[in-house]
Amino acid sequence: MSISAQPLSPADLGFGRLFAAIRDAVIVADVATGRIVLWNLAAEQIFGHSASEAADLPLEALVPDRLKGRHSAGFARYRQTGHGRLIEAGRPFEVPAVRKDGAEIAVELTLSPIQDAPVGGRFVLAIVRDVSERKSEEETAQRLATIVESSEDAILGYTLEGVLTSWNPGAERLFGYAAREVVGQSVDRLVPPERPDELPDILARLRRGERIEHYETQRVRKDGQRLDVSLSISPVRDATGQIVGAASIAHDITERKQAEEERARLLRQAEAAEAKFRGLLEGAPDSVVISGQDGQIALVNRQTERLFGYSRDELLGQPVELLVPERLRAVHAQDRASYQVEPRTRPMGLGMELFARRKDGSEFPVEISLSPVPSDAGLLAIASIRDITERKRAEEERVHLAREQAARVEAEAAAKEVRALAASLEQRVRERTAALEAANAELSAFSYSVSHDLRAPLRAIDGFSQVLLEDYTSVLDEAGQDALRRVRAASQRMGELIDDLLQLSRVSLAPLRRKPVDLGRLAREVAGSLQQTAPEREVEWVVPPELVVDGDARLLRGALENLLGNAFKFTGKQAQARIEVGVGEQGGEVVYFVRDNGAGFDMAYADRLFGAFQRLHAAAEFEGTGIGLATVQRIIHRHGGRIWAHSAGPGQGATFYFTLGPARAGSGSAGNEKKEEEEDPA
Amino acid sequence: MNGLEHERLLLVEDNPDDEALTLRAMRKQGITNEIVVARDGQEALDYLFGTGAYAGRDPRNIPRGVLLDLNLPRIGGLEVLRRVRADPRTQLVPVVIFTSSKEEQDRLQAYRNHANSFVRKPIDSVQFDEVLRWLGRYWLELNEAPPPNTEIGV
Repeated sequence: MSISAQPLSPADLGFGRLFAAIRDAVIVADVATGRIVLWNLAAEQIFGHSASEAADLPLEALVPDRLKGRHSAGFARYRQTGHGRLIEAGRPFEVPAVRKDGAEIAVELTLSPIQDAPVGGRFVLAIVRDVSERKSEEETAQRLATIVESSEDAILGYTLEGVLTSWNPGAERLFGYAAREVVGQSVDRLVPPERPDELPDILARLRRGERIEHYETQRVRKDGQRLDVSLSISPVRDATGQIVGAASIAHDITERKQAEEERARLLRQAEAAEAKFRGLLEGAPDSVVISGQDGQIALVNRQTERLFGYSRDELLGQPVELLVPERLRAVHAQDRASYQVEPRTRPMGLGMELFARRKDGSEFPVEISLSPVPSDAGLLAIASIRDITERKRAEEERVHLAREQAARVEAEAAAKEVRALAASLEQRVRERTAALEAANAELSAFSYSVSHDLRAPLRAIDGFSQVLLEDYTSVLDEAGQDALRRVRAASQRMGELIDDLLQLSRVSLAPLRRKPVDLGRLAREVAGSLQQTAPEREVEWVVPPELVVDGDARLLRGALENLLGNAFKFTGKQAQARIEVGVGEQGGEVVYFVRDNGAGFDMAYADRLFGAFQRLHAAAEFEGTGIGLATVQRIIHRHGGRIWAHSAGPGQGATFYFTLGPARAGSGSAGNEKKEEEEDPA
Repeated sequence: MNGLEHERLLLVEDNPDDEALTLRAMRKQGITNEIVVARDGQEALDYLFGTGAYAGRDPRNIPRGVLLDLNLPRIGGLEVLRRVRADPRTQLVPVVIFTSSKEEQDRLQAYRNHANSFVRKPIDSVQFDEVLRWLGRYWLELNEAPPPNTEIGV
């Protein structure tokens, strides 16, 4: 029977409008032809065939190729026998189907026979629900479940009240609880007690629909051990979009945390080491200069700035030779190269005096310790530079002090020796003085007794000779009388000698008493008494009104007596005798003089004048013992002065010059000094 | 002892040559006064104080003058002078130091002890005679002697 040419309408089958409104595809196929006779809107939508296209379309067209054989066989069996496994199943079953565009979709198929159709014939009703979507969701869920099952991370679900609803094996591994132990329990057993607000906070956020990602916190294992976890929590909605719970993935980050902590610790360590290094570097009492293989300064500390006067910026990148005195730079560069060959920690320039150079060019002594430090940038050299100016100074001072000490010790020893010597010298001086005093006393006694005892016999010789001459002239001839007169003359002469010797001796023995003495006045007094001895003589005396000198008045009188006495004596044959006393200056020295225009002397004998008993003139010609000038010289010498004589020659007069030593020269002499100087031809 | 004691002269001289020459010169110069010679200091004091060989002689009868040598045995001339001046009875006797010395010390001590004069004995016998002539004329003719028997002090 052929009804296919006339498609049925739903109404034909009795369910008209209902047919169109059904959301599932309602397909009716003619059992006899296997062709679709009814095709509702939903079928159009599911399969893509329009109603007109579907009409008379073999049912087989909706079956994937791979199942077409089974389909035809099954359908044929049903057509012949009225039985079919699927049609009689009485429940939907899921089969793959093919859309018009060839895409396979999953459908839920319910087959039922249509019997007693008004049009007659056999029909089969297929209600098809497209379950592709549901299918893929299920597959996804399945896949997801697999992922969840195999995930390393703990994946768990809980309600908005915190009641656990799922617990994957990862969660079991991570937290130590089996699913059956915790599902239905509160999730808060995993939360550390010290974080009481964490769970309520998370739940509140979930309720607001927030997703929480990479929330790092701690969780507590069943065994109480703490875990570091990173949580990703998503709200879970039901089909209506209502948030009903949460899915939480907990990733164990303990290792990462540990690694992070380790890294942080290492970093801190490195920082601490760095800080320590910096601290050490900056706190070092020495200047520290770190230079690279290229000899450029890589790092300096504060002390370096202070010591060398450069700022850090001025030093970094500069060759270290900048800090070396110019004269030593070439040698330093060479030494630096050789240090690279054999780098080791050592003091630099052992046994040498090292010098560094400041920015201002000044040099100072240093001590340098070198240490090599390997680095990524090659071998670094750390030079620790110490200014040893102070130390050297201290050393020098110590040496100096030691020397001083040694000198002091030596000096003390010397002083001791000197003291001992002085003591012995003093002792000797005392002994000598005592001996000298004794000798002086003896000499005084001798002089005294000479003056008495030596003269008495002379007086007797002279006196009794005179007695003979007076009382015995009758028995003495002229020769005898002459002999007696000679005896008398000799006696008198000896008396004079004795007197002069005594004066010489007294000049030596008497103490010197210096005080201002008017040599002018003394000279006038002496001249006066000389003049009295020969009042008939006419002598021109030239004596300054005042000539104050510093000396012993008694001794100076003795000197003048002799000098003026000589002058008076040796001008005896001069008709116009002139005797002058004065003062002048020779070579910055005050020189006194006594000048006469008398007999004079031959300069050849000038040095013999002052010896005792030296006479240049015959006794008959001039009187005198020859002791006078020796006495004068002794007096002058006792004053610390000198005496000398000058004469232009015999008959040319004589000048006796004398000084009186380093005396407190009298003020009164100044005026005369100049005058006399002008007059002094010498 | 006879003669006018107050016209006597005392010569204190230990040297016999000097004594002889002095006495001869005095005679030559016409000095006729009695001359007592003491040959050392002790003898001189004995005479002046009436002791020893001169015991009983009244010291107040002082001689007309004393020629006193300094260098004397036993007691020196200066000590004699000191004692004479220290005794009120002999204090005023004119004393002429007559000696070989012209030492400063001797002159100083002599005058400090109130010698009336200090005359040096010359060696030259002519001068010696001359000196004694002057001494005689001065002390015996020109100079007035202190009043006799006068004690000074209380």
